[in-house]
Amino acid sequence: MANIFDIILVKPILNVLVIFYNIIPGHDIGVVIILLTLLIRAAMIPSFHKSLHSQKKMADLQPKMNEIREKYKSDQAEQAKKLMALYKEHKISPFSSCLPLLIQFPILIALYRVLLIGLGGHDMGSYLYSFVHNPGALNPYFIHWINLAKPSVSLGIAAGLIQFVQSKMMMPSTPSNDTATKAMSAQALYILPVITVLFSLKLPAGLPLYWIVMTLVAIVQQFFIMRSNKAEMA
Amino acid sequence: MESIIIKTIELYQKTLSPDHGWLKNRHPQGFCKYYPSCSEYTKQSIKKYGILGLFKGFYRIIRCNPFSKGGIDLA
Repeated sequence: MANIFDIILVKPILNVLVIFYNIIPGHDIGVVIILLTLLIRAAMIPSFHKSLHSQKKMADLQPKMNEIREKYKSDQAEQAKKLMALYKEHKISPFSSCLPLLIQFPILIALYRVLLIGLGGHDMGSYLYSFVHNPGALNPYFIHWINLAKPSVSLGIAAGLIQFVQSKMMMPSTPSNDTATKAMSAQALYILPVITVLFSLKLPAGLPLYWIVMTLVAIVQQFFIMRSNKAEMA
Repeated sequence: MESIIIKTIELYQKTLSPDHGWLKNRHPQGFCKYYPSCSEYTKQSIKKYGILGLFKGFYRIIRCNPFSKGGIDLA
């Protein structure tokens, strides 16, 4: 199992990191992590636009949806069926997919392994594909400042803060009247950033750096969503 | 073994899951494009088929990508 994981995730990620490390001027592994994260997010932009588009249409369908929800209150499966038929009829898909979300967990674990292998000063020879030039030991410093192979308190706290800002932005504008739901979203607002900081204090700083870039892109996207919603209402 | 996996899925559903956990009210329409959600489907599959159900769950998660249609898909 560990072997399969190495072959399908750890090795490809490590090799792509090393290729970028070899190409970019300055050979900075931090810059490489930022570039790669941006590339991954860029690949997800088309599906982001699609969901933005359907979010607008959803607002118009709200009365019909509430009608269905009320009618099939007791039968969750039938309710889902009717709602999905409605979305289909209006050619919208308000849903996301689980794969892009869940793939982040193995990617984080793989990135952790990659940082251990790549920045630990070991010889990476056995991990690199034959067409990738072996640069020897990688320089673990990000702009000569933070050692990405070791935990960094400042990057960890930055990751937590940025995640808090993102959570705050994502809070629904019309808060639920249900106190349990309210308490839960308040919990999420504080717990998740705290978990991020705690993990960051133990893990190589390359991981919080990846997390920071991911979250910053999400914030920029959220900003666009909010702007287009405002334009809609005006 | 199966009960450990189911417990893990339930822990995920109570915490990080965008359909069942802390963040579910960020997605008032639901997050997963399938019904039941991927975690619920996997849980039910394991209850129904034992450890093989886990692979059925993996296959569902792979199908739950931006290029698939979604819809009703019972375990």
